Amino acid sequence: MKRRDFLGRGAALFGVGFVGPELLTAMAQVSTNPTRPADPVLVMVQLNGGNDGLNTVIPYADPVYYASRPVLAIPKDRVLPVSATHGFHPGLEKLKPLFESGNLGLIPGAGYPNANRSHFRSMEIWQTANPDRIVADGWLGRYLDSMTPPSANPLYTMNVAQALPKTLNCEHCSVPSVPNLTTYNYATDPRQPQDGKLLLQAFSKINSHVPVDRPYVGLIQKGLDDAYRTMDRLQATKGYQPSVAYPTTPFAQALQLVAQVIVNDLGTRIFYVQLSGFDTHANQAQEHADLLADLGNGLSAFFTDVKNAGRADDLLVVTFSEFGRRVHENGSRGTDHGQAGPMFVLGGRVRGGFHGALPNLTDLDNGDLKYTVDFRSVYATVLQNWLAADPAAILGSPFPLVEFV
Amino acid sequence: MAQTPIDPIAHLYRRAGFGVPPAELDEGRRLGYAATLEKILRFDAAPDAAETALAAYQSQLDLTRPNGIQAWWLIRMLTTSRPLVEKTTLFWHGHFATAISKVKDPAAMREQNNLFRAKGMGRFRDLLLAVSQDPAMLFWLDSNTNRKGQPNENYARELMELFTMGIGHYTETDVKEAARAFTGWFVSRQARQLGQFFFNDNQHDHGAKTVLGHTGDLNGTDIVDILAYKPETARFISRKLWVWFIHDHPSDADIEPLAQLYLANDTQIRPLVEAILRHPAFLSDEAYLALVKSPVEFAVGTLRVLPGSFNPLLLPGALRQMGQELFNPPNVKGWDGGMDWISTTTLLGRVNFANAVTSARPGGNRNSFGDGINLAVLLRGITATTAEALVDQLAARLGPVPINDGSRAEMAAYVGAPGGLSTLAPAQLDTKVRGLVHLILGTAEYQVG
Repeated sequence: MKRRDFLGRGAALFGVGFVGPELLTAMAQVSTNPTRPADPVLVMVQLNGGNDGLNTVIPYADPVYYASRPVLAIPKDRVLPVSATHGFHPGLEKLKPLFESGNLGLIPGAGYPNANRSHFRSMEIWQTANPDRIVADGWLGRYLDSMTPPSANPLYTMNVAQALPKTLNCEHCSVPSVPNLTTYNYATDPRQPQDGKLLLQAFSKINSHVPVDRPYVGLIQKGLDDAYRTMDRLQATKGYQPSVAYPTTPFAQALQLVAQVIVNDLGTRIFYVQLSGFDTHANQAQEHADLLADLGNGLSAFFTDVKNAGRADDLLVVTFSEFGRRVHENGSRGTDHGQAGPMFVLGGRVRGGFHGALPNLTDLDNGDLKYTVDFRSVYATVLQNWLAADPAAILGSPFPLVEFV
Repeated sequence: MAQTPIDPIAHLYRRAGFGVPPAELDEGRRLGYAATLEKILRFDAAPDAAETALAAYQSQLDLTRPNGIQAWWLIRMLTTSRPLVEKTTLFWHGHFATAISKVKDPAAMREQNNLFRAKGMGRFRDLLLAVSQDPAMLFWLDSNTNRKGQPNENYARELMELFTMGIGHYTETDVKEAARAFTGWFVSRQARQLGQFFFNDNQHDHGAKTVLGHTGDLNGTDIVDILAYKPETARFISRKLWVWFIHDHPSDADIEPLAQLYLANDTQIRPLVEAILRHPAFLSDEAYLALVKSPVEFAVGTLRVLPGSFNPLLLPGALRQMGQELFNPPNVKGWDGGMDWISTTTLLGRVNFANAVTSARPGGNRNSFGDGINLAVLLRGITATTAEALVDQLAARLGPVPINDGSRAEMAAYVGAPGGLSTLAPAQLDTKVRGLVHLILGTAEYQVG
């Protein structure tokens, strides 16, 4: 951690009554560089199952929407309008103020050419940013691999889930997976505390030796070593007192852990959070409302907490799902797999509002919304304007930027 | 680097099951590989020992709760005399991945599990039809709301993409048309309880459909018959079974003879599994210790190999920390397996399970893993007088697990008996043996099988 980081953020947070020259320098730097912070934090939010975009950002002025969704359409008087033609699902009520304050932007029609309607292939396409062929590494993994020199911080990236998403697959980087801190430790027999210390010592040293030459053993050993090198630093953040009450859902709790790590300045720059359950083929209405409420309430608490800690300007949240859903509802009061869908972007420096054209409900591809912004343009923007990386090198070719940051 | 010496019997028992205790391993070595394989393949010669074990746990298992049915299956795996059947049942659970998170009915999930156990070695065509009419599956993929004129594509898509041919061998039109063929395949549901499959003719679309070149008033059974006999399905299933039993990178040339065998045997699975277990590649260096153990393989294997008494009712919770909840795969694709099992948090789940097992002692509380390791049995026949030799002999019993030189030295340093094991008091030796088992189970080398 750089000394400036600690003084710039930690000092204010922990109430240390001291403003050193470094802090003033840091503040000055921020003000001369209004678009990009010195230490940007990216939080990717993956919505699993294919979020129904049309019932998320609702074209409430379009009669085609109501004709296509006799059961599932959100009545006009329940939509939370954010423009003369569009509004949020009522579940997103907590996001509306963030939209109004200009901290929340959205790309209403994100997608890619020749959309794939398989959850797994389409998610892989979003995770690898490669619709043409199956590749091993994720787009953020390739970014991490491109860093010269690579970060020495084993917590530079943190996956807030049990399993690593393909997005973070990389050749050389280490990405710890930390769904929560309750069991993120090396347990030993409490009746044998002295022996426990020796065990932990042996465990850590064993992982420094050349492993037996079998497939995967080296990678597994690296994982064990990463666990050892990250657990104590993370456990040390456990006393975090958030400035807002987070909802008790796993998603909101995951975001609270992200805030805890940001505010404790562990030098983590990329976080990955997921929310599952969006595959609403049947009886969608209540389920989808609950999911959107979880999303909106969680993001709102998180943003407020980070903002209260003075870190909103360092923060960029980007949400995505593997596809949107069909324009027409099906016979099960649900929706089947579709194509384009909305992405949200949230942060202190985000340019709020709509980015990119709105999907047209009368110009469909096989019953699905056509995309208006290639999602790789959103990634390219994140890479260039937020992470200061070369998007063409990481995405394989240049994409026009979407100026949300 | 030198090849790791292959232990064929241990390998066979790990792959065709979940590992065996040292005594049974020795028995297998006496019988020889061919006879041991025959014994495993002729599983129906005697009733499954798991039935007796389950009867003993009956009063402790709440089969109306997810934890209860998880423990029920884990006790089966721990005590079965038909390891290949349980291993194949686990394969089909991952293949036709259905999750209780949505189905909500433990009885229906157990019924589906018994279906895999009963039909998982028979004709794939029959299994596929039974799965297509299985109450948990009908609810899981929304068949029960798939109506004439308003088809729900969920089941039809996953049937082609994940259960039979694999992605890339069908069109969007095939999906839509197949969904129409399954209209009216319903299951009743009251509160959270699923009833039986029934065919609702009023909701079935009797119009002409075209699926994969077949045209007519097709129904769900027709689609099952079309799909089960497709060469793409033969390859997809053969490849997946190869990856389950041998290694994760078969070539097309490896798979083609198996696919032909599947088709020649009217989609029978048992001959296919036999051919895989008898395949030269099965005992190759390429296959040995080349698969990442799933959490279930890791935990069940550990408790089968270690002598002692362990409380299986705590296994579901431990497995959750390692990233595998039986009856609750993350999605319809099942568990991806391989390195997807591995993350810092799931690895800590594994080493912390190792600690729970090695720390358990008689008289522990209800969160203790039972009476724990029977050290006298574990040490029977151990001749080591030095810490290094003890590491090697314990590692041989727990796998054998190959231990690299550096790790052996660290483990010996942990034991800390430079003058030999005879300098340790019995209580110290007890602690150190438990500690060594903990360390060995937590090595990277132990995570592959």
